Parts: sequence; C-alpha cells; structure tokens
Amino acid sequence: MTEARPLSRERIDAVTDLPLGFPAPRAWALSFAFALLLLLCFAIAVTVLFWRGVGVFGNNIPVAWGFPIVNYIWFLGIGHAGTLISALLLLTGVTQRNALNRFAETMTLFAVVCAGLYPILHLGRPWLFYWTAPYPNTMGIWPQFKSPLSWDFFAVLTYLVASAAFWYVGAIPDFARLRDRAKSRLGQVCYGLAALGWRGSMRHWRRWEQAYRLCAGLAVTMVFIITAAYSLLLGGGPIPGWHSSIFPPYFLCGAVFSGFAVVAVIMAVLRRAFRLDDILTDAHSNLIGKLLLAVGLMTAYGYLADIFNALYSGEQSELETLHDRLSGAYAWSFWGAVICNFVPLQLLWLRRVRRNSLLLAAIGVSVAAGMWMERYMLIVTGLYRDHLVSSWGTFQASLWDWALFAGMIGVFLAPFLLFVRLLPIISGFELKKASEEARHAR
Amino acid sequence: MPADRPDAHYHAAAAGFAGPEGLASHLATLRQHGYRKLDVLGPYFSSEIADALDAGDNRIAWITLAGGLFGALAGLGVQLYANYAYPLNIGGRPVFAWQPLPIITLEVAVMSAIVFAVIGTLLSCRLPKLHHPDFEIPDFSASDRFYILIRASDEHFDTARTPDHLKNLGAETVALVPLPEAPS
Repeated sequence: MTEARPLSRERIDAVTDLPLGFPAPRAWALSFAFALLLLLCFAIAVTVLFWRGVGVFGNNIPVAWGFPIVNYIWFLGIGHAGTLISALLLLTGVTQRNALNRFAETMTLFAVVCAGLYPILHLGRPWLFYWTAPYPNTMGIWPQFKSPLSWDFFAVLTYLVASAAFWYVGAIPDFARLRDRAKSRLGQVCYGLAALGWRGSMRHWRRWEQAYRLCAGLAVTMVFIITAAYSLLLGGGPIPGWHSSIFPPYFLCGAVFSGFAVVAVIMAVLRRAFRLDDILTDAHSNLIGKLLLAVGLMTAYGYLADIFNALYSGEQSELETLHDRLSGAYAWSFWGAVICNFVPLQLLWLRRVRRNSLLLAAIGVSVAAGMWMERYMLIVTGLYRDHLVSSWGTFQASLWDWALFAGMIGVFLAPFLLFVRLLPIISGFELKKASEEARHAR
Repeated sequence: MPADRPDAHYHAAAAGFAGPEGLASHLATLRQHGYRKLDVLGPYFSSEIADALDAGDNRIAWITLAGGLFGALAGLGVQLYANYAYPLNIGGRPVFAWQPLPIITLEVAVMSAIVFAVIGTLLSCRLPKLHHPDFEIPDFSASDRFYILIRASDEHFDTARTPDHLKNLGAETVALVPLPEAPS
C-alpha cells in the first residue's frame, strides 16, 4: 500500500493504551450523558408500549409494517457493512484494514442488537418471542418453517452469535496487550479475564490466524444468506412493489451502502476526538469513499432495475405502485432517498473529496438518512395501496414510533461509547505488525 | 526422579528479543544443540517462526468443517422433524417442501461453524486459563517482546548451559523461569 507509513513504537503504545489513560473524559462524559438520555427515552417508550400494547404505534391495517420493520431493516443493513468491511479487507490483505476493523465490527454488533430488538418489540406479546424458536414444549407445537418469519429468527440469531464471536476472537490479543500494560489492579484483572489467558504462543497464534480467517470467510457468506433471508420476507409475498427476485442483491447493496456511510461518520468522529490523523489517514478516507461510491452506484442500479421490472411486467398493480412511489402520498420518501443517496455521492468522484474525512462524513450522514427513507418508501408504498381499493389506507408514524426510534439510537450509542472508553478502538497488535512490516520493507 | 532434576524447580529458560527478525534461524541453531521442546511467544503472528517451530496443523479447518456439517444437519433436521411432528397445511403445499429448507440450514451451518472454530481454537490451545508458568518470565510482556522458550522438561535442558546457549543468540534478556510454587 502506498501510504503505510511505519509508526513509532511509542505511538502504537499510546493508541492502544487509550482506554488506560483516557484523553477526553469530559467530552466522553457529555456524549455518554446524551446517550443515557436517549436510553431513558427508550425505557419510557418500551414501558408505554408494554403497558398499552402495539396500538401506540402508527402501523395498522393496511400498513401493518411501520417503523419497527423499517428500522429493523435499516439497523441490520448498517450492521452488514461492519462485517463485510472487516472480513473482505482481511481476506484481500488490504493493510488499511487494521485501523478500521475493530470499530466497524463493534458497530455491527450493536446495530444487530438494535435490529433484533425491533421485531420482538412489535410482537403483540413480546414476552413470548421465544415461541419463534423451535424447542420441545408441552403444547406439542413447532414453528412454521415455511414462513420467512422463522427464517428471520435464525437470521438475527446467527448474525448476533457470529458477529459477537468474530469480534471477540479478533480482540483477544488486544485484551492480552491491555492486561500486560494496565497499571491498576482492576484493569489487570478485568482485561486479564477477557484475554482468557492468551500469552501469544506462536502455536496458538497459528490456530488463531486460521480460525480468524475461516470466520471471516464464513461471515461474508453469512451476510449474503442473511440479506437473502430478510429480503425474502418482502419478496416472498404477492404485494405489488415487493414481489421481485431482485430483492436479495438490491437489499445487500443498500445495506452495505448505509453501513459504509455510518463507518465514514464514526471514522471522522474518532479521528478528530482522539487525534488519530496518523492512523486513520486520508488513505482510509479514500478507501471508504471509493467503496461508498461503488456500492452507491450498485444501489442506484437496483433502483433502476426495480423501476424497469415494474414497467416491463406491465402488471396493473405493479405500475400503480410505481406511480404511487413517484408521485403518491409518500413520494417524499422516494425522492428524498434518491436525492440524499445519490446527489452528494457524486462528489466522491473527486479524489480531493474522498480524502477529506469531514466531507466524507457529511456524505455519510446524507446516505444514512437517504437509506432510511428508502426503507420507509419500500415498506409503506408497498402496503398502503393494495390490490383492492377497499383495503387502501395511510400510515402516519406516532409519537411513540419516533420516541422508540430515538431511544433505539441510544441503545446503539450507549454501549458503543462504553466500547470507546474501555476497549481498544484500534486493533493494537495488527497495527504493530503492519508497522513493523512496513519498517522492514523500507 | 531425583529431586535435583532441573525441571523440579524450573519451568523453562526464556530469551527476550525486540523483534521477530532472526528468530527462525535461532530456533534452527537451538535444534542443532539438540533442544526439542521449544516455543516462541510474541505480540503478533509470524508465519516464518510458526513454520520453524513446526506448528502447522489443519485441525482448526477440520473442526470448522465439522461445525458446519453439524449445523447443517441440525438445521435441516429440526425443520424436517417439525414438519413431520406438527404438519401444517400451508396453501396445500406438501409437508416436506424443499424450497424453504436451505435458508435455515445454511444459517445454522454458518453459525455453528463459527462457534466451533472459536471454541475449537480456544480448547486446542488449552484456553481459557487463569494462569500459566510462562507468565512467570521476569518483566513478562508478550505485547512488546518476542520470547524463545526452552522447556525444562527438554532432555538437554541444563540450568548452566542453556542460558549460555540463549545468550549466544544475542538475546536482550535471558532468564530462568521458576515454577510457580504450589499452593500449600
């Protein structure tokens, strides 16, 4: 790689020791207080939801899938990018990976938690959510495995378990590093327990390396299977605007698109907050910018293909749904998605913009918002005008929809901030290895 | 075993190096001296050193494969059994329709393969462990240094000559690692 400048040992130590001598306690405390406020909002919204039932949400017949599913798909999509970016860059041997993977994987982990909570919360009786799991019971009943809902249960479960395992295995050597470097007894004990007794034997390292690469390869496969599983939730039914075989790849591109956007935002924030200009360099921004542009264009192709399919099918209901999307009651969500997703994106053709982490983050915010509107457009415009005029209706998000959404961002943010405070945000041993190798290559 | 056998008091001899350079050839030198029970600790993976240690096996790959097959069978099995034990008529489709089966089968296969890979790695490294005699190396810091270890159980281990052999390699530090005292 052109810009892999070797870092000094002291610099690497300083970066991996961030949790031990945290440089910005006040800014962190303020951010964490904000996250806790959102978490409080979550607690209130969930209490109201449990007390009064799902009627507090705006979704009703015919738009039975409102915010819970819109946000579920949005969060899950953000998660995919963390897995893909980490696993693909590992398998392709891109050295810039070592600065990006840890926080991208952590983003995945907490985004999947948020995604997993939504379907549970919008069940009428959330405390019985475990009924979707197959387990022997005295009622003698089993889940309906021909339904995409049960595929979805396994999709989220697989994603949660696998991304947690991948994340943890990757972090074990860093826990060991912190254990060896921690000054306080509490730090030594906690990081020591998390390191599971890792001592860096080359025999262990070889097995670790094999396992990590295998997990990465499996994780890439998993992203494809899981987007397929939940896009078939939509594609499997006869709803106009949903019933399309393009959905699995279309969802995958959209998911990764929104996730890369969030990675760009987090990268810019961490870079500024911890003065990591020598680690999260312009070359990293450039890499993310290129990926964002590429996936964005694939997503744009998905939009065009979707429109083309509707026109080419010549089906009355498909054409009507297309018409509704372009000029119906929710046309704002379609045009909002098109504008937020693809207009600022075009700036990324310029190398100067790609290398500017703040501009890249601004485009990332625009894309995250655009992709949310796209999810909204897909769900709502598919449902609000069905085949039968008698089942037409509208959807309006309620106060509690918004409160739960804001709260869910707290569910993402609070543990993410704890991660920033307590764990290495940059993979120390990989940084060290890449740096030593770069020094030798000179 | 006589009480003055060195491995009665010592766990290993450890030589610390700043980087991984030359460790592979050092290992070859030690092998020429007859040492067999060698290990290297380090802050990151070096395939060159691992090769010099002969630390190559594919057991993790096989464990992962086994996990994948186990998951696939479990995922498929539970679906087939559920359809058999609790048959549902979904729009007149056959009880054992194959079309919906691959998704959960693949999902569970991937999950199980990853879990097997992780647990298999830990168990094959005999981790987790609360303590290990390697941590008794004076000023132990495997996050900064590479260490060559010669176990005291090695036939050629000698409290006088072994440290000299290690010093001759140009190690920064050489130390005999005592066995931790057994709790009485």
